[in-house]
Amino acid sequence: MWRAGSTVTASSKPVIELKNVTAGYYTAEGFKTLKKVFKPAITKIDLKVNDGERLAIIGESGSGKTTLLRVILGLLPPLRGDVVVLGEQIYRVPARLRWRITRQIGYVPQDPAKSLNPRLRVAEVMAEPLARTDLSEKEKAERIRDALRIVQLHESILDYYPSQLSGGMMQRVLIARAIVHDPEILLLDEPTSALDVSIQAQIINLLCSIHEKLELAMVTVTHDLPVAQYLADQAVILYRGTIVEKGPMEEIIAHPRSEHARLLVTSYLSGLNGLDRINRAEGVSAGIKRETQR
Amino acid sequence: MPVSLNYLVRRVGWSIATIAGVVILSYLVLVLSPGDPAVKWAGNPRGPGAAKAIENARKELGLDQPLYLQVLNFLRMAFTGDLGISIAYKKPVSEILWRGLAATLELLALAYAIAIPLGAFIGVMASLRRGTWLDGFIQSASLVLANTPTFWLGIAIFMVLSTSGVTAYGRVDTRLALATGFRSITGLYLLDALVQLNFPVFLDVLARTFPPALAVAAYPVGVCARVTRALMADALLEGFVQSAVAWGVSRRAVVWRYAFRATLAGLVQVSGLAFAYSLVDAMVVEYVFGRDGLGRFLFDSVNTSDFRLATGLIIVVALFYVLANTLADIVQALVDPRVKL
Amino acid sequence: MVLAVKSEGLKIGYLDEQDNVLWAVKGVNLEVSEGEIYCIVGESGSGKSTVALAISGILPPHAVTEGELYVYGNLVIRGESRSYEKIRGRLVTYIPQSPGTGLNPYLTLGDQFYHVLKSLRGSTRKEAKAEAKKYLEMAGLDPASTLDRYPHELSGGMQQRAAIALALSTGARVLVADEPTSSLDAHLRLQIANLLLRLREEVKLTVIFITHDLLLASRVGDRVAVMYAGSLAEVGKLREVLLKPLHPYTSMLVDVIPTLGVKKQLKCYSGEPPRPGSNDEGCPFFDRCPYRFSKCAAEKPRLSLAEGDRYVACWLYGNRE
Ligand SMILES: Nc1ncnc2c1ncn2[C@@H]1O[C@H](COP(=O)(O)OP(=O)(O)OP(=O)(O)O)[C@@H](O)[C@H]1O
Ligand SMILES: Nc1ncnc2c1ncn2[C@@H]1O[C@H](COP(=O)(O)OP(=O)(O)OP(=O)(O)O)[C@@H](O)[C@H]1O
Ligand SMILES: [Mg+2]
Ligand SMILES: [Mg+2]
Repeated sequence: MWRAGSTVTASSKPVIELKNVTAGYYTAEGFKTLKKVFKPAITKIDLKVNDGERLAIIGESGSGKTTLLRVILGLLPPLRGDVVVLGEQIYRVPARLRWRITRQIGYVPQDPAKSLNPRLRVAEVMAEPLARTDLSEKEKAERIRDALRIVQLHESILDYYPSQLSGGMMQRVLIARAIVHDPEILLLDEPTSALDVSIQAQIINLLCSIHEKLELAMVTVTHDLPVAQYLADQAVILYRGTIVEKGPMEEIIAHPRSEHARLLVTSYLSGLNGLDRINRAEGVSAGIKRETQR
Repeated sequence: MPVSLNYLVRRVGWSIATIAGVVILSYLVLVLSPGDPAVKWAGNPRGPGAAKAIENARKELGLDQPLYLQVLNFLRMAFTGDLGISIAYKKPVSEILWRGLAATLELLALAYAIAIPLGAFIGVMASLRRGTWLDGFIQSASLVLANTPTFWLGIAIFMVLSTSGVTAYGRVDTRLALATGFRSITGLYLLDALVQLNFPVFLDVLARTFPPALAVAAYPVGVCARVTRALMADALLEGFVQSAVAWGVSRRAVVWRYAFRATLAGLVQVSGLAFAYSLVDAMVVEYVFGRDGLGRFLFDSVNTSDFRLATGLIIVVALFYVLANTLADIVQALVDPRVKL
Repeated sequence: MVLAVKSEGLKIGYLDEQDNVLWAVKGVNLEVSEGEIYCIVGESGSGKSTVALAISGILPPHAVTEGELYVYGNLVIRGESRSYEKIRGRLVTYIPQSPGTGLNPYLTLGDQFYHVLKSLRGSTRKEAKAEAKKYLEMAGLDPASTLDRYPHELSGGMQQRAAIALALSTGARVLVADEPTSSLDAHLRLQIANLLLRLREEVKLTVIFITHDLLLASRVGDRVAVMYAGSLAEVGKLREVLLKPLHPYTSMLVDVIPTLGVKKQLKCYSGEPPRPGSNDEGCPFFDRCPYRFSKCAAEKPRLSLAEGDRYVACWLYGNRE
């Protein structure tokens, strides 16, 4: 169903390339003054994501993960540095033509409730990414239905307004919206934060199978290390806006080198609270524990 | 500042382009329409010298030149603020316009100072009592207010007042003004009287401006009430309003600081549009109440084929629309911390 | 033992555009005692947030209710009538599921604290600021750099912690927390969990903790209620439920918890939960249950005592009633 018969080769050409990127926000300095100062949220980021690669961006809250995605999406011009997406310097393209590049990106924003326009029905939300394609109305409807089925939502939801959905339903609508137009790149900002573990498991399986079929590049921002190990092969650890560690996912879990990665792994393990027995994972986590305590 | 220089530059550029377009169009329409202004300028001459006199007048007004030169010439004049001499009044057009604009603005300002708070308050009350008789009453009343023809309302108020012996004609009692030594500086009499601490004139001007202002206010009161009610109904169900309720924030703060705050941006936008629309209303009502405003001058200029004055008026109206919209945008940005212009 | 929250046959539905009621919560009996941390987990769309809204007193006007709900003995829902005089913010406080929409975009955090504290205790700006600092710090935020910020200037996780701080600043005795840690990392989650445990010790805070993170729940929670399609599927001590789930849905949940360092196949039972508004004959989990038998299709199992203090709504155990 997903772009049947496409011939995407797992060539290792980069689809996202950030070179020495610094980006941030102008905020009012002090209490209600009019003066704005620039506060960098990410500094000197070098990052390359190849076609077919699965990358996790991990970092504490406020470390700049969402900012990084906004830069890739063409929403936040960086102060310095180059951003190349699908072979184009995205910020050299005039803003009103940028959609030609960004429409090939599927994006799941972090806060589902905030990202959905309360005045649009689910059907309209789902149709947005298909608006500038040359599909017929029937094909569009077909695709929307398929995408909803994949995220386990019933068609009747098409008539709902976002306020009538539960948190997890909104998140699934956004996931469906991100994949409905067969993007080249998937950017997922905490894609399973509002889902219960059973639907989370389904979404994980789904994202893995989409990735396998399409060989697209997938960048996942997540706090959840166990989820990251399913959704990514490579990982970068972001700390206060800079990349402090980079490497294969498994390697980072087993031998975290940076302070921050170690903290995440140990917090997770102490959160286990002696419940390692669930999932019969005892041996493995005990191994990690020893490793991180060194 | 939420308003960037970039935005202002773009906005000013657009405004200039819009006004230039309006100037050119209005000049063409007025010059090409029937009724020869040169005849008027020459003073409707008759007899043997007439043809010559009209020819001279035509030269004097520049009407003998090719059309594109006339237009360019007029554009240059318009942007230097020199709109020539009025054919009917034989005074600089800019002077007449300023007098009229000040009078009209005074009327509009008073009308909106009444209309926006009143309309918003009524709308909020209706939204808080959804489905009750009060809501129904406010809804239908505001519908009626928004759709009553303003000229009719103006005439009705004027007639009621004059039959009950209240004078509301003109802008100020001339005798009182002379007696107290009132001088107009800005053309906004309320402001002038206040600056000169001339309270008798201030009260007189207020009393004369109030009735026509009421007529002009009817439309924006209705519009603001309806818009506020609709926006409030949505705002009261917003997540942040609901969580404020759950945290025990007092009802007053929830209504005004949380929910009403969320409707402000929409309210400002609608009021901005209504304000521009009300200009025409104000001009009509002014005429009814015998006030020397833009309306009076527009009427006169058309009657006397005073194309100089008429184009000047049109430019002022266009400028007014552009400014009202820009202001509404800027106020909107000030009201919502997330909007950057 | 004082009961902080108690419900009897609580049913909550929403009116749709044709004025039909779609029941989202279909008869729930809860008993949460003072100082308890009571977790609610369950399927997305199963009505957890709806229960949370009912307890915190912010069900939308188009919600309809049946049954009864008490908060510290105050009857707040009684059939169709709902009244929350002096409950909101004073007895019950709430952390919204989506902090981004729960914070006022037009006010700085400092001002939001001010309005909450002024309404509840008549605080002045200065007092409110001092309190705000205390609670922001508790939630792991730096007050100096957040107090004068608007919510949109904060990252998702910071917004979430700001909402936690605001909710706690009310000083209410029952905290209804709807997925309060969904966008926080493991380290911050632990911090918030420890904060809740500390408040429970210090001020006997009662917490209704809705979460998808079963491991975190097991760290803070005393008891857990598993919800499925608007009903309770299983209620019991958290550790026991996690280590030995009885209801097939619970055991499926426990099976698919991803674990660090293990990459097993995440197997789910296929099928979808019934939609709100569909008829509820039979067990709601029927479609997906691997152990179903004929009785499950015909009759809806009621929540009943299975063993110890475990309650399960499943015919595999429910014959003993
Ligand atoms: N619109 C904005 N204006 C000003 N500052 C901002 C804005 N958005 C984010 N920031 C700041 O930039 C920093 C990075 O934010 P970002 O949203 O990228 O974090 P994050 O890594 O996604 O965190 P989280 O996991 O909590 O979502 C934060 O310190 C935040 O306060
Ligand atoms: N305001 C509303 N109007 C109409 N229907 C609603 C409304 N809010 C929720 N619903 C419906 O009620 C059901 C339960 O929603 P609820 O938000 O309680 O689920 P939840 O258990 O919190 O799920 P999640 O874990 O995804 O947040 C859903 O089917 C949803 O569509
Ligand atoms: Mg983020
Ligand atoms: Mg929910």
